[in-house]
Amino acid sequence: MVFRFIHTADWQIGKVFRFVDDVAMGGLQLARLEAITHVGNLASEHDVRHVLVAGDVYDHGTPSTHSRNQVVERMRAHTSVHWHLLPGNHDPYQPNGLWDQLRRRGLPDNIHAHTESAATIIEQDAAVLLPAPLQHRRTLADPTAWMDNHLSEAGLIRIGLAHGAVYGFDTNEKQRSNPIDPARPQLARLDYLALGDWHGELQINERCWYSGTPETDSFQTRGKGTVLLVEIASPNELPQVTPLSTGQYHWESLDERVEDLEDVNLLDNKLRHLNDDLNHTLVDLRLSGALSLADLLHFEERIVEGAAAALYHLRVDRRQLFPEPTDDDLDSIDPGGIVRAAADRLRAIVEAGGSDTDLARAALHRLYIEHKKLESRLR
Amino acid sequence: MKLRKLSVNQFKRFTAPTQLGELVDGLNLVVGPNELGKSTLLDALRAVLFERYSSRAQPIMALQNDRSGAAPVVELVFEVSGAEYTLTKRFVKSPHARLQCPDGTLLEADAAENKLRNLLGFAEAGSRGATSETLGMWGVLWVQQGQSFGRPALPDSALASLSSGLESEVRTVLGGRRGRELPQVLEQRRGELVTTARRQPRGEHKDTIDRISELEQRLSDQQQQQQQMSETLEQLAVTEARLRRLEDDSQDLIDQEGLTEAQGQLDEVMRHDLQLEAARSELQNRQGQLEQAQRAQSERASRWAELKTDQEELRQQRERLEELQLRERESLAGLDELRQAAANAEAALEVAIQSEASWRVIVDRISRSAELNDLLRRQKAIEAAQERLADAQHQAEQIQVTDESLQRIRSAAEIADQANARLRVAATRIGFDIPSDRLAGIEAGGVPLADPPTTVEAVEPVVITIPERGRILIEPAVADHDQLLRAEREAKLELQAALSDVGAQSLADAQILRDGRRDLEVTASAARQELERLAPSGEAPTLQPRIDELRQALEALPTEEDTVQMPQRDHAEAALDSAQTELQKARDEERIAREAVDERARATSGLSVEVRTLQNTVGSQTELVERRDERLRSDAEAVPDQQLAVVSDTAAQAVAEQQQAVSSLEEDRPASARTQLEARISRLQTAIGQRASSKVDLRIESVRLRERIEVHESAGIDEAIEHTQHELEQATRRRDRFERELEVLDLLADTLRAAESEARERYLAPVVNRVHPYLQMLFPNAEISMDEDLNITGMSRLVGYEESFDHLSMGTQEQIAVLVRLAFAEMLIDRGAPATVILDDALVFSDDQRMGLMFDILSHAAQRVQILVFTCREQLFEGLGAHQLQIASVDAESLRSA
Repeated sequence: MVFRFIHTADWQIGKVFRFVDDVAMGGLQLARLEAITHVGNLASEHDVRHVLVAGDVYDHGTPSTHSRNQVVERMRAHTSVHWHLLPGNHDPYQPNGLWDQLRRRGLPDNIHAHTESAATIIEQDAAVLLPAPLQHRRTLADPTAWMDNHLSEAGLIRIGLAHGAVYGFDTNEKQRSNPIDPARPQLARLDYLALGDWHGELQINERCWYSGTPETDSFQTRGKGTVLLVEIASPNELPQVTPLSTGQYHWESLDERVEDLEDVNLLDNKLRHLNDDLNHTLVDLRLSGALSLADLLHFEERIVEGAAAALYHLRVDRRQLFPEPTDDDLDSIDPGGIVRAAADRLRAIVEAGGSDTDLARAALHRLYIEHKKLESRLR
Repeated sequence: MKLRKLSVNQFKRFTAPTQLGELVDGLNLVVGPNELGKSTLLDALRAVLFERYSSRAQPIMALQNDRSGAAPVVELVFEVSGAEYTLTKRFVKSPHARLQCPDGTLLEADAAENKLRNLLGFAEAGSRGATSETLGMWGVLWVQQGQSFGRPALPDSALASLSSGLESEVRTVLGGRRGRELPQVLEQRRGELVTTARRQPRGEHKDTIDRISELEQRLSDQQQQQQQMSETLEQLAVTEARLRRLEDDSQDLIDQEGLTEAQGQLDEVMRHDLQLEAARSELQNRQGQLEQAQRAQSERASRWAELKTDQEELRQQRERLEELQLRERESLAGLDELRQAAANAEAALEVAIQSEASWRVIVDRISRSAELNDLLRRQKAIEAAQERLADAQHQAEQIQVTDESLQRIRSAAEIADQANARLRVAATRIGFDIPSDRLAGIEAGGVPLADPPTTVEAVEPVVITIPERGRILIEPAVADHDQLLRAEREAKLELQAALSDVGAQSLADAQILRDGRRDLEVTASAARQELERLAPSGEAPTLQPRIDELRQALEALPTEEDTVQMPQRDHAEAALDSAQTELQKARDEERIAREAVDERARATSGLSVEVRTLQNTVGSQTELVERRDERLRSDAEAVPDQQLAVVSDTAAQAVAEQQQAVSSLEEDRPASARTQLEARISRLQTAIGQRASSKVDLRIESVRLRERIEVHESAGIDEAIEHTQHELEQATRRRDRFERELEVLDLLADTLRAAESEARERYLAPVVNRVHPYLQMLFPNAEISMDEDLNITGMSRLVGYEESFDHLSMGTQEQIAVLVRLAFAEMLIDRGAPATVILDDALVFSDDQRMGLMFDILSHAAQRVQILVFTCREQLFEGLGAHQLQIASVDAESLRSA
């Protein structure tokens, strides 16, 4: 009989999205919770009795009571599914901490918190689950090392469950902790090693996968969230892994250069055709280039005010986008008079390129805007 | 434009047609007292040019004469660019306007008004009549009474008309309406962010800043809470680990086992100790019995020994008693003998006493007799000495010459000798050289010449008688004859007196007398010495009583002796000495005998006492010894000495046995010390007890920590911190935006101000340049400053010090205002739109000197500008040198009222 389970990780319930406002954040947080339900539904759909969550169920060691309970309630609703939870680096196991607290308050029978590195027989002696819970945010030792020495009865499918960074996978200094040997499946005779921590779906080798988060939560991770449906026919057989989409929100990251009105219009068009679900799309737009004041005004209207409204959230980084006042801009402010004289002075500062350049540019932009506003009012 | 002629009818006070003219190009002066109607003419000028003929505005209605109520009519002849126009307007009733142009066209009504506005460049008056705004530059140049001083308030219209060339500059300064509003908008926005005065954040900006500090505080509190939570979790982990260790009973079991074992060992040790103690006690007991037996044995032995000693002692005492009794008897016998010897000695002594006494009487009698005889001899000697003494004293008293009187006589004799000598020296020596045989009968001075006659010394006349021959008188011639004679005589008299006092004849006689006296005194002295020797210190009178006493004593002596021949004194005394020696000897013998008796008596008595005492002692001792002997024998009979020895040996045997038993018990003692076991038991009990109480404490602590954790858990602190940080970041971004905006606004404001300041300077330059020459004429080295509305703001007469225009004197303000108007007028000429400057009762505040200067300036300006001056001060303005205008009646059809 094929042993089938869903591999997921990094739910990070209770996560706070710093860059969005409270309203947008509410939507994003809700989506993360709904992903649990979605996973539960997928399990039923694919006749799966076990869901393995490879760490970081919660975003914090001390989530709010509401966050804590929401997770449990979502899982409890799926009575036919066994949820195997593993403490990750965001919610490591600490005596009397979150996990003990959950237990103390009574976990439903279908929820299993694996807070010790101890094997558990699951699915009527068909498989043995070897969890590697984290006790700290960062550990220098490989939490899966113990699996090598664990002997199980022959005929059992051995599944490892861990949270951390696979050696050599990421050179980022921060990722060096909680290291996991990618050869662990061979060393520990695992049929499958379910990993968490990396938020995008990723295959390390034929027996080792990162499922990614079911609901994408950063612009670094492209696309929508997924979970993995893993099927293992018998011990030593290679697992069959099928990604299943679960995410609601698209996270897009764009680097664009704009120099004139045409560029602005093209960008507008691009944003509006990113996908067919703009309402669930977040865009991180990093701009570079220089725009005349008139074009900048156009940019504000089309992109910042227009396209942004079509998206769930538009984050605009314009630190490299410079207002470049032209003669026409200045003439449109006033062909003469003191306002023009002032504008000329500001432009001179910008052109001088000193330390006041940015401020002068901003002042000129402001002058332009205010003048335009005044103009439209007078008109 | 230049004014030429002004006519009015039914205009205010002018109820008849009146004309002012004819105006020339330069300075025109209208002189007249108050109430002449100068200001009314200026009103007429303003009305005809700038008011709409059809206006029903209040100022227009006020142009009517109050009494007549007729329609005011004004006609003005003026020139523009050398061409003459005639403008006529009738107001209020049947109003009309008519402009006769130089080209012959006649424009009526609104057409005339429009043409006029085009010509002169002013705005159409509003419903309330012409205002300074509609008048434009004209309002500035035409200053009515009371308005001439003060800065000219330039309406926009006036500024605009000042110079078409200034147009762009005007815009530069003002930037149009937008130009003026922009800084306001920016300032307003700035005012929303910070307070104007102290630039303190306000409104949303301030709220944001407050919010940030609030959030920072909250975050800090939450982080602290998080820290507490983390610490509490650690504490709980430690507590539970300890609790788990304690709850694992293995150590308790080990300790309990150890405890049981130790207690078992302790019991065994204690049991053994009890046995040992009992054995030692038995040993002690047996040793006691042994000591008792040995004591009984030795006591018996010592009793035997003591008895023997006592018996021996008693025997010795008895012997001594016997000896003493014998000695007592012997002593008593000796005593009697001694007593007899003493009696004999006493008798011998009596005889010796008798002998000595008789001999003493004899000796006494002999010695007293001897003394009596001696005393009698002394008495006779004393009496003889006393007789000699009295005799000598008596004879001595007969002789009067004493050493003193002798001395007196000697000195008198010396003086007499000296006087005589002096007399002789002075005397005339009469020498005689006559053989002695022939001397007979020859006398000198009645004194026969002695043989061999030598010389006679004559002091006084001397008669030398020579028998048979007669007499020779010699009278010596002595110098102090009388004096010498007197001295000689007095000396002789003195000598005579001294001698007679002592009954002497001469000095030699006196000396003999004195020597005899001395001999007598020596004799007396010898007698006294004799007396002194015989009866020292007047003893003499006491001799007699003694003599009497001795006689009596002798008579009193026993008479029997008298019969006996008195022996020799030496013999008697020797007999007495012998008797006394015998007596002393007898006495000594008697004393020795008596002492021997006493001594023997004492010795005998002592022996008796000793005998009695010893007798008593021996008696009682005998009784005691006998009793003791009796008791000991009965004891020995009851318990024989042999039996005592047996008992003692048996006891010694028992002690030896028991000592053996104790030694073997001590050797068998268990290894563990009792104190060590007790310490171990106590330690283990404490450890077990402490673990039990620690368990309780740890459980309590664990519960307490859990409760605390639950409190923290319910706060969801990590998530709360995330939220706070999120809010804080947003607020910080908002604040940064505000601050950035403020920076931008500040930069903009600064830039605008700088631009404005620069533009103003550029714009004002022509005006200032124009005013400058006039100003220099009035106030050398002075400068004025103006704002962009060409308002004079101040004047600086000293470098770097500007006085506000309002603070200048009235006169100065007025003068400057006039100068500025002249400058404006000149600028208008430059723009091809010359205008007339009208001054109505101006310069009223100026002093004479300034007035003169102002006249010069006005004359100078009048070369280019038409100036019309109204004044009531005829004499003062004579110096102006202006063309004086006349106000005269006129008859003209065109001035017909309605």
